[in-house]
Amino acid sequence: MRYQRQITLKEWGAGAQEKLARSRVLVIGAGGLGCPALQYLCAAGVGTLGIVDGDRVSLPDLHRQILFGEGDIGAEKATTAASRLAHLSPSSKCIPYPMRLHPGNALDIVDSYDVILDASDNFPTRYLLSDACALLNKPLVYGSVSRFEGQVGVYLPGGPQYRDIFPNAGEVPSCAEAGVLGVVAGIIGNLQALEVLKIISGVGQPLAGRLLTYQALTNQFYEVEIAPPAETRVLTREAFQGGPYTEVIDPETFNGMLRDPEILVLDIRETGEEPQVPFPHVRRPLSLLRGEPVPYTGRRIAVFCRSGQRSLEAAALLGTENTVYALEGGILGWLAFQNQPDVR
Amino acid sequence: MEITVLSFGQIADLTGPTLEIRDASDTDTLEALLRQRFPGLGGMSYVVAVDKKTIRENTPLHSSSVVALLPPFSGG
Repeated sequence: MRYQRQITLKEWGAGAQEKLARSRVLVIGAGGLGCPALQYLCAAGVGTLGIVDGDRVSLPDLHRQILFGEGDIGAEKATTAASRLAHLSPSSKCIPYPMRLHPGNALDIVDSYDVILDASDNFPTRYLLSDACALLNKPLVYGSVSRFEGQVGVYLPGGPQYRDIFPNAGEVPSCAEAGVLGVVAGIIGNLQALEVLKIISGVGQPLAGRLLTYQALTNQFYEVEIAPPAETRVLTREAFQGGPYTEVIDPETFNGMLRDPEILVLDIRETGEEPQVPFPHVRRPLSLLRGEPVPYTGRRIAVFCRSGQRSLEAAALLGTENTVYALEGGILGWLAFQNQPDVR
Repeated sequence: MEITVLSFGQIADLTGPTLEIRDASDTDTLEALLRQRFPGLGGMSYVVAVDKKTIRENTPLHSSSVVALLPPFSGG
């Protein structure tokens, strides 16, 4: 029998296995964390796996995104992962959502799952997801990596949430900029899968209220307890849907916005920064934005910077008064997209 | 008294993974000393933990205190 070796564990048994078979787990991001997590959750016997990812497979992903091969380059990650998992184990039902998570779809998607696994690769999605889970009382298993390090945590309803640990994540390099060792993402993704299994089965103690960090170079784990929040945030569905969340957009969506006269296209790079761009835009350097009151209200603003990091900070500043979209990968990513002959 | 500071992620690039700081009686003093010594720290976002517990306000330190500076990671 497929699950015999884990049913044999006396703490696990047929009861835990049955809970797993009935469970629905949502994984946000089929990347370096999502791939290994999905693989083990599927193999372990989770009944339904939802996979949210709006990206497509590219060559630099393959060292850590182990559900994909070179033949998958250019294919949707969510659907490719789902069909690969269906091949690994037909007992798990896989539902792909080949789209980004945004305030308009997050609650609907999250609501039909029991446990959520955050394997995303950017702060706006992490905050959005954390708030959606808090609002819907869903347990959230968080993981993130950078270079040779990773973090794991579990946010249970009523306990400390992601925002209670990191109220404002500023400018932090992404995997694309800072690099990451594939196996480190594998270790963190697997730790996340383990926490999901513990939450569903009730076996063991989940990492609730704690943040676990892993340093691969010295093979050290360091765990801290999260201080409970000073006050409980009250989040309503209305506030969530109209909330100041940054939507991260890809170059294709950005191109659509360039044609929309309602959208203000904002370059937040500093004066004189290269490369110059061939489309109409307004330049408002981030260093100015930081020190002034929000200069626009009620606008839809598409923000870009050089590589996609600073625009997130600018978007957070502008987002209190506006709906803001941040160009993923910045103008360098946009130029690379424009120069791809087969995509346009 | 000597406080042990453990740095994680990009913060360790500035400070090294561990360092000892003398004469910081509380976390505000410690952070001011660190920012003086490593000005780049001012622009970084991180959570402070004292003896493996995150803090929300100025917290007294003792000679055996271990302070961790933990930045968020965005990568996945």
